[in-house]
Amino acid sequence: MNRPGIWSELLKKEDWWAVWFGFIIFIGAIFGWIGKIPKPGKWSINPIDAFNIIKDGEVTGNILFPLLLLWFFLGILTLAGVKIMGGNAKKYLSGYTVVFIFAVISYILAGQFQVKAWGLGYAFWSLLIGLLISNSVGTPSWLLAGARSEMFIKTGLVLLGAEILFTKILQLGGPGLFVAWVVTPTVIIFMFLFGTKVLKISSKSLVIIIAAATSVCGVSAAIATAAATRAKKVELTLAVGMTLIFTVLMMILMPPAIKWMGMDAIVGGAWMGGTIDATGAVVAAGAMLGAEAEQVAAVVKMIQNILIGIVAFFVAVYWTTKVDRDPSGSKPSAMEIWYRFPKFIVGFVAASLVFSFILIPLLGSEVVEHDIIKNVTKSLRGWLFCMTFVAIGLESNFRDLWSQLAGGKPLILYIVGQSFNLVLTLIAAYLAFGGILWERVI
Amino acid sequence: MNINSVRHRLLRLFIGIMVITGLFLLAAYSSPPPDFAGEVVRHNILMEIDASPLFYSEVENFTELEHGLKMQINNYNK
Repeated sequence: MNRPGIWSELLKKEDWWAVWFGFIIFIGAIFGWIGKIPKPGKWSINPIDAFNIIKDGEVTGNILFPLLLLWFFLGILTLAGVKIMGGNAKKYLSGYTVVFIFAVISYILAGQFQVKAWGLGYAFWSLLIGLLISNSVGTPSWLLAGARSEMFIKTGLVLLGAEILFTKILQLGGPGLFVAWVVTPTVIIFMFLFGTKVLKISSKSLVIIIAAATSVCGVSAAIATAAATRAKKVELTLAVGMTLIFTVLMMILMPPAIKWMGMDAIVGGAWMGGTIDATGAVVAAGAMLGAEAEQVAAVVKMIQNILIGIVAFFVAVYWTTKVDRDPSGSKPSAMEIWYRFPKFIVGFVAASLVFSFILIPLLGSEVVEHDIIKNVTKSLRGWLFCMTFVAIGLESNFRDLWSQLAGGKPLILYIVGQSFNLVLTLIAAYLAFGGILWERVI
Repeated sequence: MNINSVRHRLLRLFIGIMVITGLFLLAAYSSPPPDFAGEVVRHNILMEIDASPLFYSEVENFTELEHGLKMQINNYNK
């Protein structure tokens, strides 16, 4: 097989560019060269308020110039990669600018305070805006040139690596690990087997995306596994759409159900932390059961969030060695596996390990979590994910989405998998937090 | 592209914008459903809870939640 040389691959593959972009951003953030990343804020009546900078209740300025700088910084940074990879600079910049504007609109819509209360974040609005354009007037080729969803998604995931801090996993001791880390892999394997063997869904990548989204942490896990398995955009759109809808439903229905059953609040909190897909919805649902339940729910979800790195890594290994492999061919060599392996996963895992075991001990968790992650990498990752969803929407059409639904099988997979998750997590929450396997921690 | 096709596409765009605007206005300005169906959303509005973060690091008060839990565990062990 004719393959590019190792140096050429480092400059020609989007996977590697995601690692370089992430590395540049990390260096800029660690040395303080990149300041606080702006984002449209919360507003109530007037959407213009989303651009205000508020300090101690007073409006001290606006984020228009910082937003312009962000557009310029992200544009120039990614343009370098696009140009070297052989893209058309002019078309990319025009398309990128429109994608960025759509991302700003998505953040504004998501920032309305009652919309936040419903849990409808930027992922929901950016996907809708992208779908609106592609399914009405159609996505023009110059816009598609800027909708580099693969590049945005992979760079965002390398940055997400910094937020996966292994130092946090023991905060609830054995019970937290038991609920978050024993049930999750069991549900993924169950759903993968159920989807491929029982429902016979032909796309294994669609099955694993839905399984990861259901069992790990919703949208973020769907993005990570979709990139690791090189899934079709329409598959990610479908999985994210289902996850967002069911997250809102579970956030609304689980707290009243727990109260109605008279369940212990801590067990209920752990149950919701292990089952509701998005962390914001977990915190909101947990708060209905009291402060302690809210804290337990949030921390169980966080421990589960951290599993995303391990899941993405093993899914990528499994895909490279088993699923993508020619069944009639011989066992692939280590070199072949490395060649096919999605390299951004290396950046993703490396970022997580460096932040967890080098930067936190070296700089302290306050500096790392506040100055580097909260102010820079998390916000940039948010922008990249938001632009990813705009781009994915621009690349998806309802006809393909409908064909992916394949007689409702993905929906059946989600419902059966989530039901299994609910039962298994409830048992685990009782065993771990009900004073059965461990003494009560709280 | 003929004029009818352009008109048809623009009509679809207009309808789509109306649907998204309607959805936004419904979420932003209508009252949450009564009884248990709107209980969580009403609580979120009252307590200004943001239910939209996807990942733990996006939750504004996550550090406070972690500290609160540590204190609860310490108090319980005493």
